[in-house]
Amino acid sequence: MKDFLKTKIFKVLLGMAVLMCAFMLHAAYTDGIAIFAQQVLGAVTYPFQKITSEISAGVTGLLQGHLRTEQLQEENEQLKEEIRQMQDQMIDYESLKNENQLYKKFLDIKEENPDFEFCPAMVIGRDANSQFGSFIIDKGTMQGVSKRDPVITSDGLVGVIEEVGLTYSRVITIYDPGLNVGTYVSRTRDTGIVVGSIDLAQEGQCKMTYLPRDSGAAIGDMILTSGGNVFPKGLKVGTIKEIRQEDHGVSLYAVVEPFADIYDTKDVFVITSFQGQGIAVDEDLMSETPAPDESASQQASEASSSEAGQ
Amino acid sequence: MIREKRIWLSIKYFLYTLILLILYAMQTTSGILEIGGIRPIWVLPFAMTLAMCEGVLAGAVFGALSGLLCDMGTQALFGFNGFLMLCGCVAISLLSIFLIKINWKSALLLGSGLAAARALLEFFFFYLIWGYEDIYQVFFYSVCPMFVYTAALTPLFLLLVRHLKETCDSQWRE
Repeated sequence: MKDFLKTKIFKVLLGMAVLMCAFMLHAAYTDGIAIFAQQVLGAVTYPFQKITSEISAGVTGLLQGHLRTEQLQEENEQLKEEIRQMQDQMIDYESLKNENQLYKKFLDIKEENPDFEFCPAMVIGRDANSQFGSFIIDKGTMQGVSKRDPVITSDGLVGVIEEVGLTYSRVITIYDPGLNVGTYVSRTRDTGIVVGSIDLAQEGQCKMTYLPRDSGAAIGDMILTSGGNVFPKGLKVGTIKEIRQEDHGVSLYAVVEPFADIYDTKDVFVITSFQGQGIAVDEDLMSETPAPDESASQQASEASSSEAGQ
Repeated sequence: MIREKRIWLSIKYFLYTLILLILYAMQTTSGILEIGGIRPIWVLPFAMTLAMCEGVLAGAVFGALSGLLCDMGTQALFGFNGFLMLCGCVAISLLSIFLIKINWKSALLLGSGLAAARALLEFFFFYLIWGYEDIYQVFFYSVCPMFVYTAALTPLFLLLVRHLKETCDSQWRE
């Protein structure tokens, strides 16, 4: 054993250990910008990930058709019931038309936001380690993707780019407790912060915190982003499933079910550019969770431009 | 003879690298051998058994590589798992050379140890110290099952690595 410490192999091992430490220091210093070694590994693993994700999607699709007949029937009945309800609602056509026009502003993102530039991307990896649905997409700096670009699906907000390489990027989702999104309730205009929590993330939900005690927000209300330099205004986030009181009792929080199917989504859009993006990014705000005694609206406006990385 | 040895060694390490990349791709793809939403860290038992069978240097290189691959897909600092796996695989390799007989029991024991150390350190650095609410849920419903699943795979990977090593080495020894 003593002889081993004098060998060349031991010196090589020491060198490798130092290299790993250097990687860590560099990663901490550059905050999410992939280094050369990462770029190389990303480029090498990219084709393998792409092939396995396509095989997996193909096999899953094939099996779903055969194995989920009962589930599909149930879903079919549920959808028929929804259609019946929708037909009832259609009776009051004029009021629905007005309401529809109001919601259209929020739903039709591209039409209402010509300043948005999108980059379509495919989900190529979901690591077994990730607890909050984070995933890897097949687009990176070569396609114009940058760190902290918002990621959406046609249904709603998914998350934000946390790390970007040449041909890949890693996305953290709104289930992550480290990501704060400034939002408001579309009906009441109450502001709050959408943030993940461990227990809710497992059920595919997140929470909107710092709702005022006298908030008129109710179950079924739609949550939209309030805008800032990280997220544009008006992105659909989800609907309120439940309103609960915070432990400290000063404010309320809403349990939010995201519109986007974050755990199963295969295709996403990265918003690579929008009006006001990246203006006056205050790094101090990035990791701060506002204190409960501050006014909710101030917190929301601060958090609207913030996302916290670890 | 020397030329033949070099060729077969190159083939062997090329196959090891290929297997590692395929395992990483499986690790980052939803639905592949997933049990109750839990997927194992495929690259960990492979690198560990390779360290047991192939010696310190190869173990260190493949350990570090598998760790860096783990870092690619998670929120861990790039190099964190690389450093852990490097140290773990070197230790396991030295234990296998000087102290422990290589069999499925020792592979299970060492695999469990390394998987547990990695899981606990990652849980500590990425969940516990950040003070998230309900972290016990992550520990009991995600970290622990993943550790058990990962550790349980080590004897299978020992069979695979041993078979590959014996097949390739016997070619140039003949």
